[in-house]
Amino acid sequence: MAIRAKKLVSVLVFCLISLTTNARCDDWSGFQHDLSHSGSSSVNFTDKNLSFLWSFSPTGRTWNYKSGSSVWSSSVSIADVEGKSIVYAGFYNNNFYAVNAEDGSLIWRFIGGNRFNHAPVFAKVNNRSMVFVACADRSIYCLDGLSGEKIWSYETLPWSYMLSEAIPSSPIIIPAGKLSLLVCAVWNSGHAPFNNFQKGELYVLNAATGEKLYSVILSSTPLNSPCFADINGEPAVFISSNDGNLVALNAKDGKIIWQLTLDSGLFSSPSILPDKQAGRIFIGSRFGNLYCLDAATGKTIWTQKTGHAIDSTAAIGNIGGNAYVYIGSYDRNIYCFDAATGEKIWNYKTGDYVVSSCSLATVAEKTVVFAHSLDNKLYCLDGLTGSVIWSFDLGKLIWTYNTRGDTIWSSPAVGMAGGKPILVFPCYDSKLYAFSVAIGGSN
Amino acid sequence: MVERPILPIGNTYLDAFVFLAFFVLLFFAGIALKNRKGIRLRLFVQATAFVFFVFIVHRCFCALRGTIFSFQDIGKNDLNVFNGLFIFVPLIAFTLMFGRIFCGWLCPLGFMQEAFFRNTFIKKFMLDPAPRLKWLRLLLSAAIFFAAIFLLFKFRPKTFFFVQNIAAFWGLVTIIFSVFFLLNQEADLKLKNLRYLLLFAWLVIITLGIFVTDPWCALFGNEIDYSSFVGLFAVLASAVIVPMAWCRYLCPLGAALSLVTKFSQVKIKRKKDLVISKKEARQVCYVQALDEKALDESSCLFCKRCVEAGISDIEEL
Repeated sequence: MAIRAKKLVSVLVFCLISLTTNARCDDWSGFQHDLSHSGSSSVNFTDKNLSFLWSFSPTGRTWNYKSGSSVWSSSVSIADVEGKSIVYAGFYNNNFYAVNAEDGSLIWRFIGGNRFNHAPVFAKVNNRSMVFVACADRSIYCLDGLSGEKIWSYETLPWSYMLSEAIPSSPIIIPAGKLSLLVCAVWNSGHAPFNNFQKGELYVLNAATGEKLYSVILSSTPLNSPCFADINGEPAVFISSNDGNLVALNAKDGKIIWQLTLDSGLFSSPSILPDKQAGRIFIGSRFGNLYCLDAATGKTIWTQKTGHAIDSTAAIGNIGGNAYVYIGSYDRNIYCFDAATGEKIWNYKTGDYVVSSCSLATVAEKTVVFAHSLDNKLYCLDGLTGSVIWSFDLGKLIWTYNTRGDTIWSSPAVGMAGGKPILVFPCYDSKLYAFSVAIGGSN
Repeated sequence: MVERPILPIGNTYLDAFVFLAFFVLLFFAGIALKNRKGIRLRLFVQATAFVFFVFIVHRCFCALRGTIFSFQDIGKNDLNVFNGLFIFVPLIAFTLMFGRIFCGWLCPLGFMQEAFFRNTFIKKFMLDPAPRLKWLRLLLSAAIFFAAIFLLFKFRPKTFFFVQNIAAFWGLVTIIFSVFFLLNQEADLKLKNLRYLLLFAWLVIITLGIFVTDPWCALFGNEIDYSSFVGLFAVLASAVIVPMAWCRYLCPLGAALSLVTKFSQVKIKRKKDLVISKKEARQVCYVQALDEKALDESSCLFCKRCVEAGISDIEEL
């Protein structure tokens, strides 16, 4: 009974975080589900055997993809928009799609000036359903969630011949009184021979209008997706950069609260386990360390070394009142650590690198981990023991070779489609795959 | 042991301490090269570099791959460019001054291979020309070869088998070359010349953007990469049969530096009138750069053993 109560509390905490974005708690509103990047969904699959529901293939050229440069499609956002379940996904073919989550049919598409590499975020702002996405064309777009109509766009840098493609992050929407703020990082670079520059800049915009409130240049290297938490009552944004820095900023004015240089490059985004005081931050480094840091001060609480670099973002789940951290590593393992002590609970060895981030949901009353490995399989593992519940063969990679560490890989997302739980995985065969419990199953 | 940069460069994970240590060790090696007690100092530098880079810093230099990838990153990621080139530039500069001093004095993989040669029993086993021991060495080579093949298949990745196993294949080639050497020791120079061809192949692979791991990555590159481990196993096992087989025949960085060493200011020159026996030459020079009458400059690792033995002199141009 006590365990159930604790479980309920943990679900409520995650729902509370989600609700701050005005999204429903069973929505997968943005990258790694919520503002804290927990990757943990309250969605419950009542049967452990999921079956293929639909796949969505974008139109346009598939042959113009360059391996090593970006993902085939970004991680998705799943939201209930005025009674309609919609999956939002950007693709390498410069298109951003809204797909019916129930049958995989196209609702609308929006054409950008370049690839959509990163996950969008869905939020209700001023009672209007909006989806926000950053594009490699150096712009951040705000689209109507239902119609795809462009509400506003913000160009981070005016176009010139000497500019390279931008590397944006997945945006987040944070509450600030009556305002909703859009926080998004964009890395721009110019290759003019005597005036080349690289700057990773964090932008904070008014989500309703696209007006820039402030921006902070944090690095010369690309920035990863920001996350948000309250530190001692102050709103704080946490963001990591490829040059190995983790920064905590005051969300109100962009002033740096603390900054930490870790052991190696950071390609992983931070995740936060909120608690009464400040919470704990989890982040993996290219040196293979998983760090647990105090969110208020940046002090290290514990570290754990994996066998190789970590690019995956940590997912945080609560099972039986204990918090666990799930993360993939280039050493081919999916790890589960105790969030409080750092003790390794289990590791599951896959056939190849695990680069994408884990997602958590409930399947047949068990907390499970959905994880993708480059052995071309999507795994469903028991969250407590790491045993395989099922694995789905995604088929071989299309291109001949991928350079380790240079490619971003999509992560699975979990949401609801017309009252039915679904698992959506954007795959490198340029398709979105959706799974759900079998028709006639116990769901 | 070092969890974060000791001297971060401009608030980045790049650590000036590593570069400084690399620079200081090379500089010290260069000074010690001309010192009378050079051999003892060399052991000190080797051991220091081994402990520092393998256990304390535990990061790979990526001297070749990092450099080529850095050139591709100019204007896109200046931090990476700096990181990649900062190792390569002093490496070339010191090689132009003191020859392959990095190979002979700093390289942890070379130090490990050389450690086998310091064991009298192994050294005797390697150098004894008795036919019985030759067949035993061949048998051992076959065992190592099949063990490496077994490991390769046991740990093989499911995707990109050939590309992802390049380090392991390079290790297997080390064993094959060792077998050729055992069958015909006169083929040593021809096998050594093949390293330039292998260097070219290596450069082509890297330029194509393929992320090649090396046998040494597992040692001090934080690479729990099975291919790299198999390669390291093959390289170290080969070193028990043929002294420093990897450094002699396959090391791509060694091959690149041996091209540069031709222009070095400090050279080790064989005393012209002194003739020594083949056996003596092999006992003195681990990499067989020395024979009865001459010294192969491009193979010389500047270990100074021949200088100590009174066979060669150090000359400064």
